Amino acid sequence: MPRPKFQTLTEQMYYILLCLSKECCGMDIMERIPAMTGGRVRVGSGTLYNLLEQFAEAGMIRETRAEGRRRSYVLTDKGKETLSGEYRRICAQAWDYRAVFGEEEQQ
Amino acid sequence: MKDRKWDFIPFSCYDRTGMERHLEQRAAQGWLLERISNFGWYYRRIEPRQIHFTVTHYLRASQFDPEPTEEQREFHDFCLRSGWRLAASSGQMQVFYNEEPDPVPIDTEPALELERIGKMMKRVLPFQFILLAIGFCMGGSWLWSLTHRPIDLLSSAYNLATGAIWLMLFLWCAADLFRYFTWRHRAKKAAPLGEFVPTKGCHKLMLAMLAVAVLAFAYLLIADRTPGYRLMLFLMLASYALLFLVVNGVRNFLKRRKASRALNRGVTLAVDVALAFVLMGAIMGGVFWGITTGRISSMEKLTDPPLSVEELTGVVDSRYITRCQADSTFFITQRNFYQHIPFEQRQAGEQLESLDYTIVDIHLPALYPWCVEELLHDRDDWSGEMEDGQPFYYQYQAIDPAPWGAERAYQLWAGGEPATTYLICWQGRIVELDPTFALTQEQTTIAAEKLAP
Repeated sequence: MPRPKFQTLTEQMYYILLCLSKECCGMDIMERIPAMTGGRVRVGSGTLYNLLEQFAEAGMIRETRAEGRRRSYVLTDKGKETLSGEYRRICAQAWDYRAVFGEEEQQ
Repeated sequence: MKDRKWDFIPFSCYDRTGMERHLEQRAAQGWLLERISNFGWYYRRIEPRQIHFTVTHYLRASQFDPEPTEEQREFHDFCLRSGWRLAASSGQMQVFYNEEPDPVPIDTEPALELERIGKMMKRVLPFQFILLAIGFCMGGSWLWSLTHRPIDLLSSAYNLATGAIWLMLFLWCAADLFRYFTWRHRAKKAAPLGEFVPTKGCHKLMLAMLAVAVLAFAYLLIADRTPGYRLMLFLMLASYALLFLVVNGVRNFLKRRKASRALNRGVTLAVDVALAFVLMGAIMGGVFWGITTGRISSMEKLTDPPLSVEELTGVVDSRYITRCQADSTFFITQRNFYQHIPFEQRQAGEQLESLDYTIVDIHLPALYPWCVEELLHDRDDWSGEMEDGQPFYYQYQAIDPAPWGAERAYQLWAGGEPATTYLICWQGRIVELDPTFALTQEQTTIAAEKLAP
C-alpha cells in the first residue's frame, strides 16, 4: 500500500522545508541547500519546482511575494509540524543508533 | 556544408533515456537540437562536444498553447539557474541541455519522475490499448487466414500488405506496453532507494513497422493491377497526408496568431473532424461511382481464356461472356475464370452450359501442400438435403490422374453422387474445374492440355 504523501520526508524535501523556515525565493533554494549541507545534498531544478508546487498544494508552504517570475515562500504551521515530525524521527533514529553502539563509537 | 539537419526517430514517449542518449550522440557529432515538430527533430550545426541532455515533461503545457505560460517560463528559469537551457519543446515534452561537465540533474527525486511519467502515460495508454486490441483482432485474423486460407491471403497484394502492417502494429504495441510496465515496475521498486531506472523504448521496432508499412504500400501500388484500384489507393493515401498537413497547418497558424489554447484546440478539432468526413465522403462517393460505372472492378472481360466452353462442347454462341478475376504476388497467382451467358438471359430461362475454373500457380514450392489442403477442404462446411430429408456433405475423392497427365486428381462427391467439380494437381499448379456438365474422356484430354502448366 502506498504511503500517504509527505508522512515521511526524503532528504531533499527536508532541506527544502528547512530553507523555507525564513521567507526565501524558490529559486535561491538551489544554492542554499548545498551551502547548508557542505555540498552533500543537491536538489535538481525540476525536482525543486515540482516539490514547491506540491508543498504549496498540501498547505505546507505559502507564497509570500512574486516579483515577476520570482516567487518567494515561507513555511506554514502545517509545514513546521511536518518538519519537526521528521526531525523527531531522525533524532529517534540517532538515539537508537547510540543505544546500540554507544557514544564512544560516535567519537 | 549544410548548417541544418533533420531526423525522425519514433521514440516511445516515456523513453527519456533513449532520447537523451540520441541527442548526446548528435551533439558529439556536431548537431544541437533546436526544434521539434510532428515531422521530426531539427538540429543546427555546432562544434562537436560533450553535452548533457534531459528530456522531461511539463504536464500543464499543451501543443495548442500559443507560447509558454508564465508558470512554464518559471520552470525554464529554474532549470536555467542550474545551467540547463531549453533546447526545444513540443507540447508537454521539454528538452534541456547543459554544457557543464558534471551538472546537477533536473530530476533528483525518482519518485517524482515516476509520478510525472505515470500521469503523462495515463493519457497515452488508452489509445495504445485500443491499438493493441485492433492489432490483435486484425493481425490474428490475418494469421488465421494464413493457416486456413493461404491462397486468398497470399495471392492478394492487398491482404498481404495490410496484414503485415496490422501484425507489426500489434507487435509494436505489445512490446512497447511490456517495456513501459516493466520499467514502471522496476522504477517503483527503485524509487524508495533514491535510484533512477533507465527507460528502454521500442523505437527500433517502430522504425521496422514504419519501413514495413512504406514497403507494403509501395508494393501494393506497384503490384495491384485491378482497374481503378491503384488510383483509389493513391487518393486514400493522399487524403491522409492532406488531413495531417491541414490539421498541423491550422494549429500552427492559430498558434502564430496567438489564439488561446481552448480556441486553437476547438478549431483544430472541428477542422479535423469536418475534413475527415468530407474526404471519406468523397472517397466513398468515388468508389461507389467507380463500381457502378465499371471503372473500378476486380473483373476483367476476356476473349482468349485458357479454356472455354466452346473448346469443350463445340457449341459456339455469341452471347457467351468470359470474365477473369486475377490476383498475384510473389508467393501465389490465382486466376478465376467464369464463362456464362448474361445473367438476365439465364433468369429468362435460357439454358446453356457454363464453365467456372480457378487456376492457382504456386511460386514458392513450400506452400504447395498447404494450398492443396485448402482447396480439398474448401467445401467441407457445405451441406445439402436429400429427397428423404437426410443431410449430405461435399467431399473430394481421388480419381485416376493419368487422363489429366497430373500428379493427383480429385472429383467432388455429394450425397453419394459424383458432382461435376474436379481438382487437378500438377507440379506448381492446382486447378479447380467446375463445368455445369460431366466431362467425357475427350473433354478431359482437351481440358488437361489447355490447363496443364
